Amino acid sequence: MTATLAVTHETRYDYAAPVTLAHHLAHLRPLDDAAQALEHHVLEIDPAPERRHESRDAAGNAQCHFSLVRPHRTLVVRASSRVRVAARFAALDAARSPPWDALAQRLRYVARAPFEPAVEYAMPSPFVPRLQPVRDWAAPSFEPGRPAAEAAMDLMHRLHADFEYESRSTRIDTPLLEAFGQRRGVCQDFAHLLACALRTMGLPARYVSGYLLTQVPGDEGRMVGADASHAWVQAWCPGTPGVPEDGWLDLDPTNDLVPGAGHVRVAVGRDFGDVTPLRGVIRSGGGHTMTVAVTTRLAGPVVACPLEQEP
Amino acid sequence: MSPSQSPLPFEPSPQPSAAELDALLRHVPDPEPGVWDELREADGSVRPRWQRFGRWLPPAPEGEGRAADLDQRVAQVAARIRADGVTHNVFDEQGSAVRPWSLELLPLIIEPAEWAGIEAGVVQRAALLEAMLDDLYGERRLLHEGLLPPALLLRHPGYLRPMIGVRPPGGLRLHIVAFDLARGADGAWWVVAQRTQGPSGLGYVLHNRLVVSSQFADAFREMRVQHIASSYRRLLDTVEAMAREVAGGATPRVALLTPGPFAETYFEHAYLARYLGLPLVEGSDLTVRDDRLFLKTVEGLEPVHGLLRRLDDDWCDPLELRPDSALGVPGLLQAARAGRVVMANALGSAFLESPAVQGFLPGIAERLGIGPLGLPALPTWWCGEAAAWRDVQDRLDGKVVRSTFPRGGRTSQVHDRAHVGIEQDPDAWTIQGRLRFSRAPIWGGGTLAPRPAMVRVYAIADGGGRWHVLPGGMTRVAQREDSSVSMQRGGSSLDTWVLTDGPVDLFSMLPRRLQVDDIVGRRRPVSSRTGENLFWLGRYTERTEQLVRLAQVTLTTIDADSDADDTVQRTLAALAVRKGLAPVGVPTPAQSATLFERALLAGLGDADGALSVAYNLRALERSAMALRERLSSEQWGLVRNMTETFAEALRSPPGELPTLPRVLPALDRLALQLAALTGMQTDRMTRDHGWRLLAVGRLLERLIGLTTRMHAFVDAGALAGAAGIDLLLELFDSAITFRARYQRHEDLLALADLLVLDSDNPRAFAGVLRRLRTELRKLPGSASSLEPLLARLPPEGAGITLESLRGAGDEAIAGRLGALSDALLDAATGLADEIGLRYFTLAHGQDQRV
Repeated sequence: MTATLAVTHETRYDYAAPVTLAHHLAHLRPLDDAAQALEHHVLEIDPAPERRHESRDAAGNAQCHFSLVRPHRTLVVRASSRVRVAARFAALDAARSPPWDALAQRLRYVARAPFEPAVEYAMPSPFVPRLQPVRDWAAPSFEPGRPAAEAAMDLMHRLHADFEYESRSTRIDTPLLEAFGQRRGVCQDFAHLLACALRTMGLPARYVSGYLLTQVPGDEGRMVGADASHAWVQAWCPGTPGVPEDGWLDLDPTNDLVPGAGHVRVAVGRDFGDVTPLRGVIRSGGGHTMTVAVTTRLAGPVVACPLEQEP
Repeated sequence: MSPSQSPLPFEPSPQPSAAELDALLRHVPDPEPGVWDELREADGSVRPRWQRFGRWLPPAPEGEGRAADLDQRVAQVAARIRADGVTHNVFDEQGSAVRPWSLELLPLIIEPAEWAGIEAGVVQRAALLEAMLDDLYGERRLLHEGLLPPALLLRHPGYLRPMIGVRPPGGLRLHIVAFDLARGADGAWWVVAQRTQGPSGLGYVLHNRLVVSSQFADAFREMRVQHIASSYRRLLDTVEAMAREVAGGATPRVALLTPGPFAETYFEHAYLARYLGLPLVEGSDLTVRDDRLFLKTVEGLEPVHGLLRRLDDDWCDPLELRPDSALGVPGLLQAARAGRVVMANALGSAFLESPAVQGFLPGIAERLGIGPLGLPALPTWWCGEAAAWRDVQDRLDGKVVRSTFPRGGRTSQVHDRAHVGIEQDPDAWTIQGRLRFSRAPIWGGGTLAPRPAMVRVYAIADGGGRWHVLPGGMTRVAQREDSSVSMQRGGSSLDTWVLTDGPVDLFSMLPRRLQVDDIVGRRRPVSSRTGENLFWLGRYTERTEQLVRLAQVTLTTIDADSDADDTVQRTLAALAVRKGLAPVGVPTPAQSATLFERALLAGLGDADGALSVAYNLRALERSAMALRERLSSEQWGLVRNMTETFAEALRSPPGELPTLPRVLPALDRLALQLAALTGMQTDRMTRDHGWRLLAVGRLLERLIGLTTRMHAFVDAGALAGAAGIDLLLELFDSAITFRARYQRHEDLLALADLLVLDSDNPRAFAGVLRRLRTELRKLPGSASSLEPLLARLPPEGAGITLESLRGAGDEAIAGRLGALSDALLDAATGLADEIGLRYFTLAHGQDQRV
């Protein structure tokens, strides 16, 4: 199944005093790959920056650095994208995934052994430290020899069952341990916690920043996380039937599901810090307010065949 | 002990006798078995290098023993360090504190052959680290071939992903690398640690050398100690050579980036900046525009092409690195990626400082064609490699467990309860063999004592692919025989003497023939922050001086049995309140002279609650502190001494106030010190834009102070009598001239002439204005752009003429003086604001993360 989605992601800053210098870094351009075709994308910045530089970060995501040197009191950054998304995991057979402990063992360092790039995502990162309590919580899902994808999905179910989604219950600088302790958080926390749990077991997990279609046709429930940018996780289960060759299986712990055609991937990284949609450092004498509005809607027919097979 | 043969045929006969040396050694504990003794051979005899050193000791003064002489020298070293203001900031449970630098009298001596081994080993290792960075920010063959565990790179916060694939301008990543070396029991040198991010110590090394070599000038010369100045030149040359590409072939501008006055080693940042002739800048002095780096100066934005930095990687750019850093420059990474600035060292080398890396260096060196390493590192087991952990886990005794990745500070942790933590997260732990450091002799309290010593040596790149080792280094010794070697934990430092068989390199930083371009390029820019601090240094110096005078006059006038009339007392009291000497709401002297006096006395020494003298002294000290690299050590010493002695003089038991007989002499002394400070500022500083701002600050403050005083006296009608006129003359420091000129004609016309119209009186309005106009014309900017500043002041004189006062009565004259004071006060405050807007705005505002 593929769906064509139109996303606008608007960030507006209002400043109490004129900003005389601003440096920003945006990760707002959706990925363009075999399972997701970026048909149209435009990043509008108002007032127009004096300098703007598009590049790719170390993980291959598109990024845009821009800076403004003329005094301004508001800044509006609007990313508009049209993306054709294919459901990638329709044929997933989690039970035939390789044993999780074998995968973890494969990643342990042995002198002169070949390098497996996924190992980068098995390590703690700035927003996802190694937390023993999280490991203790995760351990029951990891009986020896259990298929990796199955274990990861079980963990996702448990996370969804044990934790409550509550908007504004944490801030982006709330330590993960605190979110874990209060059993409550927003989609970033769910994603960070799932990644943390997988990593403490020695398995790679990536953080995905993206968007979510509120109402997927044929699905009655309204999903959580659609009015802002969304986040979920990719677990590394190479060799699992129904998972692409690179081995990454998407899991959305906030909604307890394997993403289909309603999830638009913008960027992948170790955690939120690698792929923050928009950040900046400004020089100003006053405070600021930031408002973010995201709308994701269907922009074309939903078709039943995968992306690469379309006419 | 037998005297050894002198290697120099012309060496004259030894001065101190062998017996004398023996006497010195009498109280030294015997060499410890299993530890290398720097002073003595295993049989207890003194090593030849120390015998030679002993022979060149300066003769002890007649009638004094050698020990007393050495003790005296220890005191001289400490005094020199205090006088030069050599400090380091120590952080402990009580917070941070500024401590005097600790330097031992005796140097550590290294023989030429030993040094050759160190030099070769260090050069090899520096080249290895550079090659590793090239690979790990490029192809990453070391990772793909399994020669470096991925965790040591990818889990380390010091591996900066934004810098992957970036080749720095000139291609050089490490300009300087430091290695901490120590000597084991067999006398062999070992690498204990390596520092790649702005290693500290170069400034202290330089100062240590100046101090210790002057204590033992003969030994220093005759033993052929290698000089170190050319290494500093080389470092600067290398950074400039790389930055030349950025500057488009012109003379590049390089600055020294410091975290600021609270950094542990801020002293040496300022010291090095002065020695190397570089502007000392903080992150907030810099800005990135259009991917280029600029210094915010009083003349606008000036390009900067290279940064010799003492700021750790993490803190360099809040946009892409630590977001909570207020020390960095937003956009700096982008400028570095764009190849628009040379970072010395390049960002991203911190992971090389991990102890775990040591274990993999031999294999990597072989792979990169560097060959077997000549200088061994401590045996190292990274627990993340299961085989290594299995190998070592049952024999942890006598080893050290360190954190693989930095936690909090930069020091690796030593950890006792090892096993559990290691099993939970083996990657995070590294085991190292423990080395018992050699014992260097230190002199103190009339005796020699052995202390564990570690030497930091520095490899400097020449930019052409070769490395040079600074022939010397930073030797640190532990405080006690059994404690660890750390300046933070009360350790001390030694000068490091590297002897040579060849000629001594007599290079000095000064003589290189400069080209015209160099000189143009080297004119030191004045950053907006520095300009503002200088402006305020001028203002606070003047303000404090006037305040002291007001306090002196007030305290001697307002007295229960004073014969000054009520009006005068009231005027002084009101001025004292207005200027912060006494709190608002204090009883007037007429209500209670005692209470008023007590309030004034209580305020003088209060640096926090009141706005009185101590408060202004502290503000003055803060401005001066931020200007360390521009002020002579005499000026800085005077500022600190002034604050300290004043606080000391006013210190009283709790609940008691300092008494008048103690306060008045303290104020007198402070007035003298302030006069000396003003003298230094006027006479001993180069008249660049910074100095102009200091002078303008002082003159504006003077105008503000004098006009306020005049206005207060006129307003209160205090000039009607002789007492009022006398006091105002005192406040204007013009009483003596007045008496000489007008004898005792205490009339207002004479007062107006001397305090307002006389442009030769440095404290008359006209005198202040004349100098102010002169300095304003020389501020940065074109003549036409400076016009609006000058237009705020009367075009000439003080704005009124003697002629215009002809025939006016006292009241009319007083009225004119009052109105003039008002107008000039407005002009001065307006001018101060406009100067702030014009020259310092770039330094204002704060970086915020959004």
